[in-house]
Amino acid sequence: MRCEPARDVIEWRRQRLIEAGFLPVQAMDLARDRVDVHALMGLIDRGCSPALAARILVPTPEGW
Amino acid sequence: MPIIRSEPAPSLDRIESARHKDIDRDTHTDIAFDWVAGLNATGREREDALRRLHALMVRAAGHQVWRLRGLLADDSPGTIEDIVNLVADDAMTALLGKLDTFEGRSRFTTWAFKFAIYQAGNEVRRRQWQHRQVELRDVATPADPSPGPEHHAEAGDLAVELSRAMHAALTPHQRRIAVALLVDEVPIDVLAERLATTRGALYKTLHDVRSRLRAHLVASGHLDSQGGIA
Repeated sequence: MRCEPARDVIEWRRQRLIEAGFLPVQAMDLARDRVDVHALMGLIDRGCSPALAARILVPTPEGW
Repeated sequence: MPIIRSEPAPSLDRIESARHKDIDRDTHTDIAFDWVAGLNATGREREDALRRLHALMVRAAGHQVWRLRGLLADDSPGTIEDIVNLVADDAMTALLGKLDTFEGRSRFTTWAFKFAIYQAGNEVRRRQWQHRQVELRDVATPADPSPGPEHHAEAGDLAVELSRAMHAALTPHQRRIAVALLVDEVPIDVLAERLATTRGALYKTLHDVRSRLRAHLVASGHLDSQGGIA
């Protein structure tokens, strides 16, 4: 059974998230947390800031 | 859910030379078995059904992975056995999650084989693309507007307008998805895994892309309202 995404997949997601405007540290956390990158980018397309898109999809108490 | 392993994946020799004989023989006894009752039972009866199901999945996965082995960069016996076991486990988990949707419209073994065949295709494609660059690129350059020979002028004009539509009607992310799936031909399940999303979400984006492009080309007079070339 696959539990963790492969390291190169995490790195690939991190790069895409940085290109979309996320700070490197946020991008790494989101890439590791299996957050739906497609949904994140869709929200950014609709005018959300990266931070707001992350808060919508990952509503953690700490926020981003 | 723990996966009960009934037997290791078959060796390559067995896959190659005795595959059909094994499938025929085992399928014969499997057809008579009451799978749904066994898998919904408890205790030893369920364990026995799970063992038989895993053996069935290993056979189905072995068959399909063997067929697709030409797509693998590494088709060594050890790798194929690993893939067969992984596919069998994944297929079994998927089937058990959908057991209550089995309506008996086909044989249970036929229904079960579909899970293994689907998972085998996914896993082989995933490995095929594992070390390939999956780009998520935006289209940067419009199509060459020079029409070339006269009879290509119409197609050239449509291509230029399509390129305009890609920029005017799509969002940047829609363009990236469209280019990856339609131009670079990245398999949809590979891209879904990379983006940690679902195939359904990507299909929806493709549907939106097609709708927007069609609307743009109809508005510009390049397509008629039925989608044919005007």
